[in-house]
Amino acid sequence: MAFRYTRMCESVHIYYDPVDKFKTANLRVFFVTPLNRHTASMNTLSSMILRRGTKRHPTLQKLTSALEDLYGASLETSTMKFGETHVLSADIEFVCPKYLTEGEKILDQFISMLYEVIFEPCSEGDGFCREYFEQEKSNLRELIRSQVNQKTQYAVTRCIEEMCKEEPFGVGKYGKEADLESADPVSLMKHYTEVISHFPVYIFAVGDMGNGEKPLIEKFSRLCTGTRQQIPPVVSKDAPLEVRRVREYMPVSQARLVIGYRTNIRRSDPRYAALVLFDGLLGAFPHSKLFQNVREREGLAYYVFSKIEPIKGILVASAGVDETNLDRTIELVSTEVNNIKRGQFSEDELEYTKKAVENRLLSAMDSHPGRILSQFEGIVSGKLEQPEELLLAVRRVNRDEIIEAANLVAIDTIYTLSGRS
Amino acid sequence: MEIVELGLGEKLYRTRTPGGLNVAVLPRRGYLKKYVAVTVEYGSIHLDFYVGDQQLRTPPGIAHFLEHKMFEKAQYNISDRFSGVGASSNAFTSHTSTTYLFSTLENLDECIDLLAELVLTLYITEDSVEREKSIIEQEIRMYEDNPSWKCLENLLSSMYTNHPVRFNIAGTVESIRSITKETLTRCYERFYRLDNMVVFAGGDLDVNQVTERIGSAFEAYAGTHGSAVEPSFQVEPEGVRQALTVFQMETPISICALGFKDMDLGLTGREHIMRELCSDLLLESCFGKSSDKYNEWYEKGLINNRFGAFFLGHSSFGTAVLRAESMYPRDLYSAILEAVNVYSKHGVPHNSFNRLKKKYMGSFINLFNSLEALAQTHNEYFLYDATLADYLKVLDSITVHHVNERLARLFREDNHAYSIVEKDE
Repeated sequence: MAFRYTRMCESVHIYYDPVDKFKTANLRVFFVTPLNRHTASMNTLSSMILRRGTKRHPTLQKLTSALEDLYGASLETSTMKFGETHVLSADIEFVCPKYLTEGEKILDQFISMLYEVIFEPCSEGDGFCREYFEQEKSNLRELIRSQVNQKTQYAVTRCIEEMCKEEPFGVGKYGKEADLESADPVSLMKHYTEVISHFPVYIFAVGDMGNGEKPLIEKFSRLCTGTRQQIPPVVSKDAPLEVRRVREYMPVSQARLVIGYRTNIRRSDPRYAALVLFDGLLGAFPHSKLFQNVREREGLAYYVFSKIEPIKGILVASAGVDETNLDRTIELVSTEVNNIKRGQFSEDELEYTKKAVENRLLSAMDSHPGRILSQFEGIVSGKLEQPEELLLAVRRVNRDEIIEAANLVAIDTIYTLSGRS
Repeated sequence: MEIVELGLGEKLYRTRTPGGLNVAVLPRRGYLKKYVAVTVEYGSIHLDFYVGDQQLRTPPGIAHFLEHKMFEKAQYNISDRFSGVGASSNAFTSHTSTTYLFSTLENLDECIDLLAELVLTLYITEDSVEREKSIIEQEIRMYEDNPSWKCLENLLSSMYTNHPVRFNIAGTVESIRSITKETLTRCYERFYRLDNMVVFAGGDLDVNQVTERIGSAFEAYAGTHGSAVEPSFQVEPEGVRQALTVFQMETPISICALGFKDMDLGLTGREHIMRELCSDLLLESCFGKSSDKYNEWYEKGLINNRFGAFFLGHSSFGTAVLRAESMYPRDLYSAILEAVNVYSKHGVPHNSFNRLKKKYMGSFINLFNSLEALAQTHNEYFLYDATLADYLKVLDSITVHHVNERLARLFREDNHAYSIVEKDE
C-alpha cells in the first residue's frame, strides 16, 4: 500500500501505486480549486462538456466508440467536493495491458484518450463548441434540480447548505442554477483554461501499467508550464449559541431528519482518531447506538446513521422516519450523543467499533477509488498518513480521549423535511 | 473438488456437500478482505408453492420480511456477533433470491460458522414480527419517495397480469401487515434448505481450509428442514396488462421506462448466458451510448446521460427495460417505438457489433476486481446451472444472426409497456 511519489514540478504531483492484484488500472487527474459558489457550477459544466468530444473524436458517439474499441475503457469527467476544495477530475479505467493481445503498446492509447479529453476539447474559436455548451448547460440545470429526487442525500446536502451558509463548505458540488445564466462558451473556456493551468494538479495511477509512471510523466509534461496556486486552508467555525432549526416541506411518504454538528476536529488533528471512534460508537455501523436504539429498539426508522466529513470536521446524523416521530427521533439522537459524552459506552462497544473502523479502512484498499481517495484525503488535509498509521492511532485511543472528543461535538443545525405544512 | 479454469489465470474451486450444499471458492491473492455470500433461491416472486397437494399462497414481501428476521436469534442479534469478531454482515432480497454475506479481515472460521447459523436457524416471536413491520414500512416509504423506483415498479406491474414480478420486492405497507410468525416459519422451513442454496467465498484464502469449514459449518444443520417445494407460477399471457401507465408525483423531471416482455423462458446453462448476452448486445447496439439513436436523442434533448437499458432475466420471466429522465416523455415514447420498427425491418446495426463484444470482454475482466460482483454473478448464474467459465465462450460464439433472432423475439408490437412518472400539472 505504498504510492510512489514523483514531483513533476511545483504543484504538479504524480502518485503511482503499482499494485498488481487488480485486472484493471485506473488513472485520475485532479485539478484542485477553492470551493466557491460561482466556480462550482463552472467547473461542473466544463467537466460535462469535456466528455462530449475532442479534436480527434469530435462527437460523443465517436469518443464512446473509441473507448468501446479499447475493451470498454471507462472515461469519466466530473467534479467532487472535497473539504473546502472543488476538484475537477478526469479519469480512465482500463484493462491492464498484460491481459490483452496488444500488450504494452496499447497503454499509450489509454493515456492518450485521457490526455485529449483534458487538453484537446472540441472548440469553436476561443470557446467550447456552442452546441455542446448549450446542451450541457441545460443538462446541468436538470441535474441540479433533480437532486431533490434522492431524498436521503438531498436532506444532508440541504442541512450542510444551511449550516455553512457563510463558509465555502455550504456550496453544493454542482453549484447554483442561477450562476449558469451568465456563462457563455468563451468565458467558460477561459475559466477552464485557468483551472487546468493555474491550480495544483494531482495525478493518481493505481494498477499494473507495465512501464510504471514514466509514460505518464512524459505525456503530461505540459502541466509544468506557468505557476500554480496552493490549496486554500479550511475555514473554522464554532456552533452558534442557539441551535438553528430549518424546516422544509414537500409531499413525501417519509420524513427526513438531519442533524449537523460542529466538531472542529479535522483529519490533521491529533484527536481525529478519537472522533472517528466517537462517530463509530454513535452511528457509523449496525452495532452503533443509533441503529441499535432508533431502529432495533424503538422501530422508528429503516435507515439511521452518522458520518464525518474528515477535512471540514463536521458530523451529520441522519434518519428517515414517520413525520409524527421526528421530535422523538431528535430526542433519541441527542440522548445517545450525550451518553457518549458522559462515557456511557461499554468495553464491547468500543472494541467492536475499533474493529469495524479497521475493517473499513483496510477494505478500502481492495478498490481503486478506495486507494486513491484515502491518499488524496491525506494530501488535502495536510497530513499525509497511510491507512496503517491512522489505524495505529485508532487502536491507541482510550476511553477518556473519546469522551474529550465527544465533548467538542456541538449541535449546529437541525434540518427536517416533511409533508406537513 | 472440481477445478474450473476461468481464464486470466483465475480458477474456481467447486464442491457439493453430502447435504446438497454447493460451495465455490475463488482465491484472489493480495486482497485484504475476505468475502463470503450465501444465496438462497427464494425471492419476492416465490409466493405460491405446493406442499404435497396443498397450494400455499403467501403475501407479497414475505421473502424480504424473512430476510430481516433471520438476523434475530434466541438472545441476540447475529449482526452483533459479526461485529464482535470484526466482520460486517448484510443481506439483500431480489426478485429471484435472497443473499446473506459478510466481509472480514480476520476470524474467517468464526464468520463462516455465524453465516451458517444465520441462514439455518430461525428464532422469531410474535412481538418481534410486529416490531419489524414498522421498520419495513419505513423502508417501503423510503423507496416510495424515489420517482425512478416508482417508475420501475409501475412498469413491472403494468406488464404482468399473473406473474408475481409485478409486486414490489418489499411488498406494500398493507401486504406486510398480514405477515405472521406462522407463515414466515413455514416459508423458512421450505426454502432455507442446504440443497436450495449456494455459497461463494472470495479473497486471499486457503481453498481447502475454507471449503472444509463451510462444509462442516453448514452440514451441522443438515436434516433440520422440511422437504423440498416447487414454487408454482400461474400461466402468464404473452401481451402486457396495460400499455401505458402515468403516475403523478413531485419530480423536477419526468422519469420514464419502456419494457419489452420476453417469453423465451426456462433456459439454463449456456442458453441462459446466451439469452442474457444477446439481449444486452441487442440493447447496447440499438440504444447504447455509441448508437445512432442515443446520440440523436441526446442532441435533441430528449434524453440525458442517465438514459440506459438493462435486461432482467429469470427462467420464469424476462424483461428488457429502457430507462430515461426526460422533459418530453411522450415524444421519447414515440421515438423509441419508431426506432424499434426500423430495427425490426433492417436488423441490428452491424458496424458496432465487434466493438461491443470487446467491451463486454473488458467488463468480464473487470468483474474480477470486485469480490462482491464476482459473488453475485457466480451465485446468480448458479441458480440457472450456468458458470462463469462459459461467459467468454458464449460471448465469442455470438453472431449478429443470434442477436437478430433475439430482436425478433423481444421487439414486438404487442409485448411492451411504458411507464411515466411526472409532475402533477
